[in-house]
Amino acid sequence: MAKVEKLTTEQQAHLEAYFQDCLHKIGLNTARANFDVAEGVMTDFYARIGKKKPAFILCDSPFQAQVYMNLLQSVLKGGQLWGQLGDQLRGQLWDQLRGQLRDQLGDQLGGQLRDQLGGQLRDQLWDQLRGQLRGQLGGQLRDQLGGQLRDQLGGQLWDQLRDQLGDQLGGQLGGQLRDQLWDQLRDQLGGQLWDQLRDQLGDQLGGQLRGQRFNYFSTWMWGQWDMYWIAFYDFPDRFIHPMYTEPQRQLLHRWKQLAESVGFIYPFEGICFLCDRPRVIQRDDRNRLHCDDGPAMAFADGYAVWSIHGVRVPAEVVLHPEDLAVASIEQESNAEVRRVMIERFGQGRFLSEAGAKLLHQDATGKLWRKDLPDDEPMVMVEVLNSTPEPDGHTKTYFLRVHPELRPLLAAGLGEPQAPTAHNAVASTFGLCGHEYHPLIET
Amino acid sequence: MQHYRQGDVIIKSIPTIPADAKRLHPEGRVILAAGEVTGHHHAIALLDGIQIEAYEKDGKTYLHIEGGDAVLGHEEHGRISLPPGNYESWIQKEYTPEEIRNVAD
Repeated sequence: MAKVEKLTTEQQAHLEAYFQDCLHKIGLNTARANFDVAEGVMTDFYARIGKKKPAFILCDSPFQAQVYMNLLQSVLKGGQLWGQLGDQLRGQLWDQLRGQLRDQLGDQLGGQLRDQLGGQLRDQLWDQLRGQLRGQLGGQLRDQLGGQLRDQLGGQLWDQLRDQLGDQLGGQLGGQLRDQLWDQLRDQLGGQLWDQLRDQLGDQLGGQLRGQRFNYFSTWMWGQWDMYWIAFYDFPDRFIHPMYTEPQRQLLHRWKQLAESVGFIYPFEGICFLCDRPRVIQRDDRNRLHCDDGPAMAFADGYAVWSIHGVRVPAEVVLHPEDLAVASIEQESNAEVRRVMIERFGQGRFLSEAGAKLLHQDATGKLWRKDLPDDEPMVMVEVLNSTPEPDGHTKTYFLRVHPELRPLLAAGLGEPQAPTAHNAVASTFGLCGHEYHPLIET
Repeated sequence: MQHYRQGDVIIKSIPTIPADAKRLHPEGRVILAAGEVTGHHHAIALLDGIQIEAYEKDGKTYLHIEGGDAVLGHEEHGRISLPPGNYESWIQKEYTPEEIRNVAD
């Protein structure tokens, strides 16, 4: 067959409609997961790599899945349950498939369309979907989960977990875990492991979890947010002309069914955790997670991601920014979060309540000083982002500098400098004002 | 020496990379600064035809670029093209009485 050199007008129209469908009907879908379909696909995937059907644990959120995985891991120390299959499934059912499809796609498409593929198909179906789904939605969720589970001590996490899941977790440990694990796992676990599990699950469970460090389990299978690569390979075969073998097409279709039905998936030897989709996804006009009066992403169990224009922040920054304390804003260690706090609190109010005085102003920014009783003064430089936002406004950041504007070097502090905003910015890069004249600044 | 700045990352062209800097083996891209709460990184994509070697020493990243301009990108900042050569890059710092820390975003 002759190679395809150009998309027809009709195919162009299909591409736009297909992109919108993948984004809205699959990637941004917030309906309850179709667990039956997902179980069917995963059972098939396990069979394809020579594994028997796992027990399925259905979770309201990836957070719940992470808690359950931690729980089971701690109870079943030494059990054979914990062979992660994500890597294997991905290797055999995803990487291989993608490699084969890529070659076939290349064989079928002539030079011109390959350029278009490097252009339009790739831009829209791969880059845009990947950025919006996997980067922004999945990535933010993963980063938050990973940060919470890795960095916070068990005790703090337990408090949060109790707040977020409330009695539900206790209820589910008695309810869902008992029903699902008890019945489904009984056959899969040896008698000894089973007794261990039964002994340890119970009223004291909370006590056992408290003070324990949690692990973060990597996410290999992203469900609805895997749609970007599936779309990229599915579109040409369906709308340009058939180019794959039937077995390849069937496997790709299985992946698509999975994307259409659930959120994150954590497959292990003998057990597979399937996560529901979020109930809420709110984004701004630049497709960043954003909601200024509620969670930007929320799950059925209450687990949520709070975000202002793509910056993850604590819930109170979204709900009650006017109640933030000036001290808590000043103590926030993340400059991006602090910027959002100040914006929402009110920049003028922040400076006046902080009692800051303007020391100097130049093209670089403004230098503020706040005297503190029995402490060294707090000197902050207010700077504007060099790149304005698409809507024309420019983000403002406050960075604390040394009171004498000594350059902040890896090894310590440099020499004092005259109090100018330019010198202050230079000092944050470990430089003196006269050394700091960037050729390009964005 | 010339400086380039993208947000909280600064890059300086230098004659040579310190001999004792440790070679990094990044996949797909070299991340000069990771966005902790935004998922947006200051990163240079590794592309065919341009050789980029990355090194690390004392918290600074060193780059050796050959064969064409490398492009430093970030979702919220303008791109910066870096001509072939050697570079040293570090992250903006912030003062607190307790410690000097990298600016995090």
